Amino acid sequence: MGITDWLLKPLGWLFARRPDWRDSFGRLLLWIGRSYYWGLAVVFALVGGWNLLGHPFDNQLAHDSFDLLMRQRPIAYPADPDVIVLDIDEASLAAMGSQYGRWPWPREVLGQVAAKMEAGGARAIIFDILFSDEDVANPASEASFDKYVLSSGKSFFPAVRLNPANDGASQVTVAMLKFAQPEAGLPASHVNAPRTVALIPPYFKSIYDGARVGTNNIYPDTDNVVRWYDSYETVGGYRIPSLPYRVAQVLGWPLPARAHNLINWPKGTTPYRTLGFARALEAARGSDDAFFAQLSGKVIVIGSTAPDLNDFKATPMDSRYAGINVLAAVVDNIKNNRFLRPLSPGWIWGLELLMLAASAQLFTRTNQALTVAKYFFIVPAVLLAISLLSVSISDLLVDLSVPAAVVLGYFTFAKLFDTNVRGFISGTGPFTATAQESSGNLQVACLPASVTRAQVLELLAQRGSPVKLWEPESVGLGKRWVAQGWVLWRWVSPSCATPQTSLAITWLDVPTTEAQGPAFSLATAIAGAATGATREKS
Amino acid sequence: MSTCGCVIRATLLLAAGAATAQQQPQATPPAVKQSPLSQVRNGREAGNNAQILTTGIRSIPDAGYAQALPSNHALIITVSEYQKSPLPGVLTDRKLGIELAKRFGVPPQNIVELSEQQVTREGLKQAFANMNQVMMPGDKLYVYFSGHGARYFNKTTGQCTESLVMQDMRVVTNAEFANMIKPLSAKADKTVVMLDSCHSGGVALAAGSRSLAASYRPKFSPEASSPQCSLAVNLGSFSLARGIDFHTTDHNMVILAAARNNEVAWDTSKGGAMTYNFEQCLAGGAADADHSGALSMQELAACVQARLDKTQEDAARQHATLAGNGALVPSFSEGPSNSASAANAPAAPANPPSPGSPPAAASSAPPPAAVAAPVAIDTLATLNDIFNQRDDRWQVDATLASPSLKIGSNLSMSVHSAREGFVYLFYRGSQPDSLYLLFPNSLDSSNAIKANQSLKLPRQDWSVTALGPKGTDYLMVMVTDTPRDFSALALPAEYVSQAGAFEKIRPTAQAVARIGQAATLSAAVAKKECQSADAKRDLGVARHCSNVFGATLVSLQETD
Repeated sequence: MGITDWLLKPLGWLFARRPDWRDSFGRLLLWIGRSYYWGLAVVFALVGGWNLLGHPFDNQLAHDSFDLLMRQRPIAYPADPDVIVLDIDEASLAAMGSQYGRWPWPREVLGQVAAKMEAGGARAIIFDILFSDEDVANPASEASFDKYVLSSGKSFFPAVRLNPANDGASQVTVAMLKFAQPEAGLPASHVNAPRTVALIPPYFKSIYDGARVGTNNIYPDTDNVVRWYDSYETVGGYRIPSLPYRVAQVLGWPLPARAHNLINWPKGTTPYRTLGFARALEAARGSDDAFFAQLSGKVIVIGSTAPDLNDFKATPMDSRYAGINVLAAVVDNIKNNRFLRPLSPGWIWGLELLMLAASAQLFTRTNQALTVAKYFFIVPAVLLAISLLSVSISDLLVDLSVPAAVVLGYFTFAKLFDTNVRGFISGTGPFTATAQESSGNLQVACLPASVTRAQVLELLAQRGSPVKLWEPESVGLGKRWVAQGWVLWRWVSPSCATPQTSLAITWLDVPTTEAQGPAFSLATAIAGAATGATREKS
Repeated sequence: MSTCGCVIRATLLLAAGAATAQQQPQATPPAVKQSPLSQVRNGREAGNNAQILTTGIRSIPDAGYAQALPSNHALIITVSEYQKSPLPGVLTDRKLGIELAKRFGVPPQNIVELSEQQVTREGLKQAFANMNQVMMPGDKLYVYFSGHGARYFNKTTGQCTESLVMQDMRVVTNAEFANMIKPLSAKADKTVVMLDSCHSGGVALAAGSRSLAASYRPKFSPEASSPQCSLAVNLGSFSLARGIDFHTTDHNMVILAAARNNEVAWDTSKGGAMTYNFEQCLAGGAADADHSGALSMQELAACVQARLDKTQEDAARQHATLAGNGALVPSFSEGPSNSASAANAPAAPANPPSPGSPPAAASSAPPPAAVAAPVAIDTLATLNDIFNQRDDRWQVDATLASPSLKIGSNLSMSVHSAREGFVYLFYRGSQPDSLYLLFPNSLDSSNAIKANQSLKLPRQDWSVTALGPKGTDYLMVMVTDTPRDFSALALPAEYVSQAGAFEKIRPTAQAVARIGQAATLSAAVAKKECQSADAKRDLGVARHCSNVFGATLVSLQETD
């Protein structure tokens, strides 16, 4: 029993009790006719368009589909070997605890390691550590770290963009942000330098003067999963860069054209080469130049995966993905210009329209629709394959989950309608005769193939008409059957009125009295009678 | 007043790293230059930034901070530039004092700084008067002083009198200081006073005669002291006084002084020895010795003392001195510092604290032992922690139908409250891990109680049956000004599990810390009017957002 049959069960229960409603409903369906399929296609096209072009009904479908693509694509995005994570991991916390106590360690420790990496030829050192406040308990360490920053030309530091609702409460103007620039090509009249912006800046003036600063905010989707990264934000005509964007600006990497970018996730949960911080400090103290030589030309991202420091985000790859790896992935995407480019909603909608038109066409050609219905599951599989292929061999994301859902939805509604129409015409399903109706005499009539489909439907749609069309299973009002003529049947009770019709119909009684036991088959009875009647007629 | 004599010989035991400094005084490193962006308001102060997400971590963690509430206030009084005997470490104390206020949950806009020339008798009076204008009944107050102390002979009383030295070298006696705070502490739910100064010059002069390293200075002013009082141990000192001096109760206030009144408190390059170590302890250095899941002032003081013991020689050692409610928990937080402390705390004490143990008398608790094995949470200590945050001016009584309960029989009790409020009933069974919120529960959520009326619990549609094993059960009844949020939102499944109609609290450090937060904070603190710095606070708002509660803790025996 298919899903359609399950959906129709309550209808059958209702119609068994109210045959008048059954017949009225059936006539309504016939009145709507095939225009239903095109009308339904238009409705789904509009709904799909509304959904795709800015008013999504359910983002979760697209979210889940994207996550699946990222995890299952056969050829994953390769992590850049030149991006390295220096991890303040649990092992480092344990190793350094006896000397420096709990995290945070005095900042001079960070400065020592960073200075060594810089001397070793690292291309960039990106701190995923916010230096928002003074460490008042360790002034000597602060001075040491400050000295490192002053001498550094390759270190990058985060700021945090705060709630824009607090912009009015801030005294920091966009013009004060040394790391932000007026938008290129923006007329001077559109630049509002005194516009204030709420953010947590690094505490050190040396960092401020170096201007190698960017925001490290993330903006998860409604399901709290990080998929997009805002490379920059424009406030008061100033472009405030994110940390990776700022790195790209300083190092001369190609800059992403759009602010809002879809992250191309490398395979696995720890895609980048990772070194423990404690090992790096040991190397720095022991003048282990070989250790730092391996970092020459690399982009180092310093952060933490230690459990208690809680820098974990939900991403398509894992519900607990280290924040440091999110940043590393974005740096990698920017460095290699590999953010994903989703196919525009216009294109997706166009494809959706084509598929809807094809489906409507199939349903109006009844025989083909029944055949296609059997293999309809192929459609989402093909669409998924196209999507997987697109993200495997290119940065183009062709996510066809929404068109697949729309077409599946269309098919479900169309199939329901089709089943009901067939049920009414043939007196099956919810439209089966009641026990009282079927207690009368069974009659069969044959009409020549020259009688048109419209004439037959008119006869069936007449109020009070008990006439039904015999349709062998899986064959509709198609040419193959019609070529042999139309077979009508009805249960006749003494009170049954013959509908007024222009057609000359000769009804033949079908002997059923002795056969109406449990083994009685209406189809067999009609088929036998029809064969005889056809033969007699011919 | 004259210079006091040097009688106590004292030296400092300097840590290995500082030993060289004794011969070659180490200059305080220059302060790093601050970014102009962090010198102005930048939106951090405005609140409602909770939804902002970033990658990365902070090099100054958020752990160990109580929730910032407009009902918390702080006055930070610091003097570094004395006309004589300047104290450079106080410049650091100023920052640390503010940092401590933030950790205690005081929002930046409620932190009032009084420093240098502003610190005069009149300036102090005015600052307290101003604060009295904004404080509402039920608010919390934190007062911090770092500067010189003095001790002089009062001819009227015939006793030595302890005092705080103002920037103009005039003194404010401790009694006068208490009088200034009185109007505030009388209406405050809790008052915390920290004094990083000292009252005796003997040690100071002895130290001076030994040419101590430049980075160690006594926080005692001989210029403002009398010689005959340099050694006296005056038990009338207000650092040993009870809450009555502040028009409140012992329970509702706590005073932490940097030293006993015949000791010197030291100023170092890292700030006042007491202040610096207290901040370090609160930020994660202290051990949760009673395994309650939160750090009390007593545990923090013990941590401070343990750190002082390591760095100071016996003869020059200062003893952080605590008076009032040592069980007060300045910050119920779930940060890694607390959990780390729990994990590194010494083994559970053989005898768990008795319920309703009285507030600490003036003392320093013994330092924690250095055992690193993870230990389980002591749920009775957790219950005590919450109980000890009550306002004991609010009388709450719980009367049991019987002092013992046979296994298989039902609990019956009545609750009486001197004020109207909302009743919460916690139960700690004879098994150590059985901590429950019994009422309100999923069968009975109406927990309002009228003033001076009795409420019988359990009501008809639910019951609590003793299931054994035999032993002592504890019941804590809280009556709160405002409802608490013990919903699934505040207490997710990793913290509580449903046990029939009741909620069973998991015995983990994070879970009990969250329970402590939920029990001691009004559910209304999540509302804008209770959070926003801009919302005009009046009596109505203060009452609506009040965290104040009364409580009682009773025990009963489960028997065969």
